[in-house]
Amino acid sequence: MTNTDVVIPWMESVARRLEDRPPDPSTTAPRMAALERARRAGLPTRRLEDWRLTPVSALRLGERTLRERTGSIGALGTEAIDGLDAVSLDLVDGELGSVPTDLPTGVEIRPILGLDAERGEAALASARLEDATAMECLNAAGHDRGVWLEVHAGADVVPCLHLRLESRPGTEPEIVLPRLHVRVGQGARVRLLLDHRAEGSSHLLWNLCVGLEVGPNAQVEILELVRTESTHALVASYRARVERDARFCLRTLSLDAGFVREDLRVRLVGENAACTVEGLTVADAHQVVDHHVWIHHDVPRTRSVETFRSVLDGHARGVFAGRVRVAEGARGTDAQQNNANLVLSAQAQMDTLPQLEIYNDDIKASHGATLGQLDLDALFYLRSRGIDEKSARAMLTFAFANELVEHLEPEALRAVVRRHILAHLPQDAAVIAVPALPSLEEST
Amino acid sequence: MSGSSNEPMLEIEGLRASVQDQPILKGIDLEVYPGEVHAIMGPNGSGKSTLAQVLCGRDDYEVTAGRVCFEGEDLLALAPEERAARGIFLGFQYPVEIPGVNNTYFLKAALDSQRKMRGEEEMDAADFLRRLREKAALLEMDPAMLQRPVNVGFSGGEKKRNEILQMTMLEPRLSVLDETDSGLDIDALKVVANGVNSLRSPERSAIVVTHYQRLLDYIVPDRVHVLAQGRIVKSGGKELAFELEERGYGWISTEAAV
Repeated sequence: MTNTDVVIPWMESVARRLEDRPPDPSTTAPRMAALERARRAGLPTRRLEDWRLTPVSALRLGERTLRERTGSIGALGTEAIDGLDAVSLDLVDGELGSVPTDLPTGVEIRPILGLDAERGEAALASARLEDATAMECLNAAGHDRGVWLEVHAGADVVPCLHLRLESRPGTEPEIVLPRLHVRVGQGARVRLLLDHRAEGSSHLLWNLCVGLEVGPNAQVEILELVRTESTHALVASYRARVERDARFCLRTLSLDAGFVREDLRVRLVGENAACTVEGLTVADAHQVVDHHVWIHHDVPRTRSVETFRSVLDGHARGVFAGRVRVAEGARGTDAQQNNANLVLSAQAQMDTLPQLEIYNDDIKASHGATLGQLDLDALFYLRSRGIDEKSARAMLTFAFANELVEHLEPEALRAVVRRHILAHLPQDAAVIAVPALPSLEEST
Repeated sequence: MSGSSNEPMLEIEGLRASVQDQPILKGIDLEVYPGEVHAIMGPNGSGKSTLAQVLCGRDDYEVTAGRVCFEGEDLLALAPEERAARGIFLGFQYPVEIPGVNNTYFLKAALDSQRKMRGEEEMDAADFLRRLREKAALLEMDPAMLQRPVNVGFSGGEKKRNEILQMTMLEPRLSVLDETDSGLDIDALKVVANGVNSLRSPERSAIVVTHYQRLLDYIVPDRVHVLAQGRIVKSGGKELAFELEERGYGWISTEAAV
């Protein structure tokens, strides 16, 4: 059975818009092709291998309608991050507002629509790949908002770029198709904070595509913070190509998210390229957080370190599916993968699926996954020192998550993330578990 | 030296405990008066560590008979954290590594929690940090260890110093030190003993569990007990430790069996 018989209203809207749009030689054909592929593939269901662990019905993909563009709209005024030194860019519902005038040197920002031929083609490259997913193809076909961000060769971008990805409130299940493309030139350095927020109940699904070109010897860090609310959903597809001698780092933190599904695909295509991919999930109630990660070592002497952690409580669902692929001839690959999960309630569920696919010898690869409750020896140790059981549990839970927070940069983020972690702990216990020692850093 | 009080601080009577229906302690009687240091010696598997863990409330052990009274209160009815707040401290034979918990935060949390349970005020953070640095210096600990996660990546000796650091900060009424000397070289042993001795006073007591007499050269006990097969088979003064060092444990078992 194919899904082409089923009429999905928003897919039809995408098709109608394509027909109505004045033809644009560089994008019309690829958009049509992407739509065709999406139609053939159909919307994701649990019958697909990559979606079998995901409670995809909660996304209500068939019922959604496209959220209309509003034109240029300003920021929603969600709370700022204390002490964060950054240049901010607002993308409300994925629409780029005004471009800040104080952009750091070497940074260029354009709307994703109306790019020149070369950039337009690069921005849609992922939809032409053999393994392009239906969600990626739908975005490619219908994207009507987003940003092209370019960092010129040699630029050292300070401070970080803070992309505020906000969602307006809504009452109906809607979908937006934003696209973000980041091109970082040779030897450039940049840190991007992708900060998802939702104001009130949004009932919005972001089907977001992020393309990343990490040039030779560049250093790029993407920090994704998902702090939305329970009616908000995010399906994000990342594609990163990392060239020789480059350092790429992707850290994603799902702290209060209704539904998150992320496909993170990193290809190390140049020698001595390295990537760090980290994820921290803290979820309870009926939240769903699902990470599918593919890391491809295509050439010799590349390195990857992948670390994912989840803390699940209530009825939360978590998925980690990580595949590391070492291509034939990719000698001297070093790939480490680790997934650790703390499942605090009997109703919470975590599925973990670490996989290694290796086509040569002479490499170092490790993977490990743990699934469990708190360490009873550690619990007794804390209690024997006078910390009550509830606080001891809170302390160990906090510590487990905090290990991925300690090294976060910029430092201003740590407090934000910790506040979210603490909000998931029993409040009276959290006071004991994380004592206030304001003078600690400077006095010791 | 016996303390001035006529009331024992700790009274153990006919204590029996099992692990998975396997009896380990088979009737322990022991009285510790304020100010006293008692050494518990004995061969491996005699129940020394079990006794230490039972006193501190580890629930892997089932107490099947007997009573333990601490300053007039039924100790066995209390949770581990309540025992800690009453002033009981266990120095672990194998201190637990706790990734992600900063050593200093951990100690502050423990101290705050104990003081809260006792109805006392929290210690001021600056005072706390000053005292912590003093105690760490006394134990010749690298100050960097205070900022590391609890016991993570510490050597065996560093872990034991960290135990004693916690003890000197928490100032327990009764310290139960479970093989604190194991894995220490002679210099570390002296430093650790120094830390323990710094807490000695007419109000505080200690039970020092050890396999070897060596530690008792530096922490001089008032009483020495020999534990064998779950019972105290011989008690004496500090000279008993020397006798054990010379003659081993074999003669005690023979004597006790008669």
